[in-house]
Amino acid sequence: MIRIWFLLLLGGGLILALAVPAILTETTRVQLSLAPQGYWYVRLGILGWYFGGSLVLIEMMSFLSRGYSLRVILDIKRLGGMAEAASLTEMYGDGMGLEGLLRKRLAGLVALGFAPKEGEMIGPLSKSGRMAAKLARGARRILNLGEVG
Amino acid sequence: MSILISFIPVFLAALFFFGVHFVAWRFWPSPHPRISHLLVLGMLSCVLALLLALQLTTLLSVECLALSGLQFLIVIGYIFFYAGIARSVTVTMLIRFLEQGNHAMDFNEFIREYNESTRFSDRLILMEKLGLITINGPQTILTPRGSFTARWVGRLNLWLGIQLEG
Repeated sequence: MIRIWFLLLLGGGLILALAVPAILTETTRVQLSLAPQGYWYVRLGILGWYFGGSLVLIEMMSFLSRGYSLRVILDIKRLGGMAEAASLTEMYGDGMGLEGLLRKRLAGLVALGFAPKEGEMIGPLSKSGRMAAKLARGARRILNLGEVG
Repeated sequence: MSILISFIPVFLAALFFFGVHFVAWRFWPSPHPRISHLLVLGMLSCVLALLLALQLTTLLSVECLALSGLQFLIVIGYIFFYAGIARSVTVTMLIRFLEQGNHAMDFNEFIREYNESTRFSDRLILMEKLGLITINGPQTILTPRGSFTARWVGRLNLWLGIQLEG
């Protein structure tokens, strides 16, 4: 479903990029007293606001479909509003369990071509996987991010 | 006016955003990802871009407002990246595999390491700090805020046609 939303938003952005020149015609430019290059700022700005807003929506949908903490909240609610931490790890994701979560995430890495999988053996990472991992590790170190995740 | 000069407000606002972010995170570390703080900082940088454009350039207000849209895109694009770096289990997994170098790793070993680590309990502690749950010994109890969040997540998922799988 998120892929469909992503494609719709991307399509919308492309249509907007093509439509802006038609909407912001020379007549409109003169009416708004925009200098010739100001026209381009407005076009770029509209695309900036649009794609920025689209990213907000995509991030929200990603959170609503894959949110680890949100899933834990829903699991606790399903268990009557109270649960032991041990049972939460077993019952995570409607019974999927933490192992199920980790295998699901692994499937994503394999699908992206970051980590080859043979049976239960994973790796070594591909070139793109190593690059992504080094970038992420570097960012976590530079920003002193704690071990959450 | 040179077109490049007109983008200086965006450049300065981006410098402000990344500069404050780097200094604050580096010298005042926290186990909390502080995404909401980053959002506030990002929005401040967008306002800064707008004000700088109005002050430093001869662009009209509508052009300045449009220009701040570029700063908005930069900020949101970065937060998108940051959210993954800060909280993603997938990223944690990727970094762990990197540490194996040229050797493959038995995934069951990773699962065992993960289960034995404090990552899950750390996340529960963070959720408690956000007021979503209360931890009382071995029990985790949903707070009214947590219950409200769960209710609205369910509704949003229904409207957007998404399933929260985790």
